[in-house]
Amino acid sequence: MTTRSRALRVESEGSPSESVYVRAGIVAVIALAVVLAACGDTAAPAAPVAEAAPTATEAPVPPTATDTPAPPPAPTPQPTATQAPQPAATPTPPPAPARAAAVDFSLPSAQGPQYTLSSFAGQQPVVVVFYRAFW
Amino acid sequence: MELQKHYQEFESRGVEVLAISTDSLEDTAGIVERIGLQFPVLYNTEGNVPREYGIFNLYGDGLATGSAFLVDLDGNLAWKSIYSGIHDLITSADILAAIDEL
Repeated sequence: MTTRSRALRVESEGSPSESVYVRAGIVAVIALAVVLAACGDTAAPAAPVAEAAPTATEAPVPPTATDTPAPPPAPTPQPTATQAPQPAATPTPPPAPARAAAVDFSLPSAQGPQYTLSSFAGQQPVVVVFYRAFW
Repeated sequence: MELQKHYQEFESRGVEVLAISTDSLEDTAGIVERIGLQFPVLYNTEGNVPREYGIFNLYGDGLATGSAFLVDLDGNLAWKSIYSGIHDLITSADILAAIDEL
């Protein structure tokens, strides 16, 4: 009896204590769930923000670093090297073909007077014509 | 080359025309008198001037090749045209156009 009563008592004592533990456990689970939920909500928004920030920061940095150094050095020396010879080459051709000194001569004319080509320089342009079939 | 017909157009532009013939003076003077050329016709029997201008005997006929050279106010060669065939005769219009571009 005593043992049984003890056992019963233990059971009876155990029952309440168990229920207390169970309740505590349920409360703990709920609390944990709430905390997790809160953490989850907090982590969810925090994650995107954190990801967005680094993504935005990393995105501009690599392209900027890649684009900036690559194009400027390459094009800058090329145009400079290309423009340098072009101006020098452009002014050279015009004077050469356009203004070679005409070969001077001094010849008598059928009309009488002697004509010297160089004597017309600074006076008037001259057309020198070689022709013989008909004038 | 109808230079005589258009000679006044050269004069009005203040440009002198000097024709050079490699014929003898007698032949050259005869042509000048016969056609009544108004512009000076120089004779260069030796043919050294057409040689120096690089247009002598281009067609193996021992003659100066028909050509025109425009010398600008500074005495420099500004334009030239050398006869290259019966269908490429030098015209006064060509020369006048070159003068107008001086």
